[in-house]
Amino acid sequence: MTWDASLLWQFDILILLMMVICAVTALALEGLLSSAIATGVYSFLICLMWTHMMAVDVAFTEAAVGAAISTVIFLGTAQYISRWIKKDRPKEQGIKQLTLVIAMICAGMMLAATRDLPDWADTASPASTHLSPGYIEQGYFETATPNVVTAVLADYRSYDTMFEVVVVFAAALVVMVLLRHTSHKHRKVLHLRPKREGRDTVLRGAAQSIIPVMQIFALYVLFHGHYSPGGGFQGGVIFGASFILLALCYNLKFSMNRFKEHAVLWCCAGGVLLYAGIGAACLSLGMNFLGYGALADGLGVSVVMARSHGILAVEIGVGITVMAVMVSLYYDLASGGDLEDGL
Amino acid sequence: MMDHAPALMIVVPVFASLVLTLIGPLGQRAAYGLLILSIAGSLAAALVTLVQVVQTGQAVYYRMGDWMPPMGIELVIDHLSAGVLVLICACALLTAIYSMHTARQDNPDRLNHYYALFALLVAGLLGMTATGDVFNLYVLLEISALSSYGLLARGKGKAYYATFRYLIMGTIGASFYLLGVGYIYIMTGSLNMADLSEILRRPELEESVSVRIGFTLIILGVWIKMALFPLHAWLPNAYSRAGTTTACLIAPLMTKVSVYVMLRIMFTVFCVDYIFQQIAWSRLVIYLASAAAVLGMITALSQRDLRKMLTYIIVAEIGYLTGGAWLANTAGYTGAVYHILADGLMTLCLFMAVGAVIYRTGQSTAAAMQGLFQRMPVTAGVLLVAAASVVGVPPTCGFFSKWYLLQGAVKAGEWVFAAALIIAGLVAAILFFRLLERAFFGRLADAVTEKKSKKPHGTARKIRIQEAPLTMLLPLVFTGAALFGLGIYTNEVVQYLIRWSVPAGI
Repeated sequence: MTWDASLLWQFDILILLMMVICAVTALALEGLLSSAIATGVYSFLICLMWTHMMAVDVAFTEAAVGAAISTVIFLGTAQYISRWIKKDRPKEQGIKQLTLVIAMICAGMMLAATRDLPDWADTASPASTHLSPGYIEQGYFETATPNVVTAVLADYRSYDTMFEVVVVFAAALVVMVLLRHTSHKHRKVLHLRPKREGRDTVLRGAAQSIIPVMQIFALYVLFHGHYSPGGGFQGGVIFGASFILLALCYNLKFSMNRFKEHAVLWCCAGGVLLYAGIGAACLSLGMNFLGYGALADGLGVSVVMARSHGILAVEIGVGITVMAVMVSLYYDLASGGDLEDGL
Repeated sequence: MMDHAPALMIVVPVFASLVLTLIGPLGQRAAYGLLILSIAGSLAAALVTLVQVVQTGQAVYYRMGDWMPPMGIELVIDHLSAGVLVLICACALLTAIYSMHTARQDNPDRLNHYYALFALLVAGLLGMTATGDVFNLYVLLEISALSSYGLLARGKGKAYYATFRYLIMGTIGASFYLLGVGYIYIMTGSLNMADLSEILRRPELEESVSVRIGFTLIILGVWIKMALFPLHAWLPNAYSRAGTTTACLIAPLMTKVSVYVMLRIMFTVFCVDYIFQQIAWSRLVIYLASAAAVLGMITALSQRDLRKMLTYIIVAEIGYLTGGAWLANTAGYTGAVYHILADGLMTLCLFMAVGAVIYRTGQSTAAAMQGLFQRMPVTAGVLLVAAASVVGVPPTCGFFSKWYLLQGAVKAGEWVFAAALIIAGLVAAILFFRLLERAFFGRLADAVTEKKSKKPHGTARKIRIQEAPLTMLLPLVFTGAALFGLGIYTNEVVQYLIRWSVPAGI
């Protein structure tokens, strides 16, 4: 594919400008809800930027996580705190000005650093000459996975990815530990809780027709990660979003009856267990941790195909955990931790 | 199995954390047992690796997923990291044993989830220490940071607010680190530490502004994480409001591992010549470190709350460590690395002792020390040892690290840092003398008024010994003994571990 990045430089400038506007707007707005929307728009613009850089996998993740789920979680949480930011006291004003100065210094430093960075899409830059050619040339022959990003993510740097999933899992665990079953001072916070009966016919009709398609698409994204942009993270987020949509269109109870708290917890830990379990299985079969080649005998395939299957298996683990964590975070944040009722 | 020790050391606590999440119904004893078992497993693996490193005199490499290093991720355990790994496992194991009563007290519900976060934090710290890849280090930094936010926010009172501030500061620190790694990746195309250090020696990269700013950003990020003096504001509140177990786990380890990361970045990824010839601000760091040591100790002196006092001592100790690293000579480096081990044990010992006092008296002000030698003789004795170590009294390990640091400062001609070390030591002496005087000569009447009503036969002088439970006492005594042990075997530690890790060129 040929790609002349210089053709569309105006497009980049436009997106960059809009991103700056969104960022400043998000800070300047006094309403928390509108701030949340502005950050969502910001994420969406970055997503365009990444698409333009041909980093489609990253753009996909950003669209699913940054623009969609984060915004919903912000909105779900904002209902429990005041919707408006308090006016600053004079002391805080001073601190804000100091922060601005520090931010300016940091920005100046980073701008100074761009002076000898390689050009945009420079094929001679170290990032595209040092390791990338190796991945691109050998990736397919070593892992039987056409999408290089997936091969790097789930095989060459699989150990990183395992811990990224652990980070996601840890997020759910922390929120659970902090919000659930902390009886003290609880009632005080929840007087803002909106009551939702879920009687809206239009929303329910829309949900009924969208959710099944979303779930099938999520599975497609997950399993097609070998061949096209996608994989466990994106698929998991989309699948998790389908349950959140269910909660939004009906109510939290309705969604929780279908995907129970207990099952969510088991899925959160289960996905990581699957991932790490495969790593440990490789170790016990005589190779290093996460060396999928060790699975070749057990599966009756060549070492290269074993790697491909290993990638698929860990991607499924990633998908399960990410899906469950999204749902778990939403349950906790939208209900204020008591899992009774919420947005 | 021996070959897999580096991977098992990190993965076993991860598995434990996952299983701990699910075994709520099995009860608190099962959770406690599983946590101890997993960390003991890590400790065994760390010790095996340490022995291997010392015997062969070479680093142990472990290729994750069997990929060759610059393509895949490798773990590198050399003389520096092997020591720190054993320290992390040992401190975590002692805290886990110690936690039997205190963790239950602080977490009446969801103890298994608390322990799951505990195990995750240990896994994160071990992974940060063992890795040979700058991006992998970031991922594990996030794990340790996230789990520490959860653990700290479980504390009492305003722990939520303090932890929120820590969360914001910690996230900024981590972002700086990541941005710096990003700049360096753009300029080199690699993330592997050994590979990076080779590439960064090229003359055109030594001149590059981007690399310099990348280095600055990484170091700034690490400084925020380790709470070096002007960036330390988040630490005292976050640590002093945490539950006892959390404080014992996080206070000795988080900041020390960040110091270890600073050493790695400075001396493994970059090199001494680069830092002190290309980086304009490198000569100023020693003043920052001196200020941290002196101001940290003086602020500690002015605190009424026992644990807040200890947190300011941490701030001061970070000053010692940073100063030692930036002295750029062998004695300074030896002092800094030795002090990572010594200060880890010292801080653990202090927090455990104070935790035991708080557990028995329910107070955390200096008044809780009243008559401690009569009420809790063993705890008081261990506290005395720890205090001696912080001040720098000879047979304890605190003396030897100060000795090396002072030697380094004199050799480098950094008189400001030498003066700061001495002043901070004197202030620490005043601080602990005041505290122990109260514990030894404090008016007992205050402490016994309650008892007297129950026991009419006893005189006001006779106080029942109310020592902490055995599960708290054993780790405490062991740590106290370790302070002596490390001090007595200083020569061996320096000869077999630290001397090997001294970077070339200093």
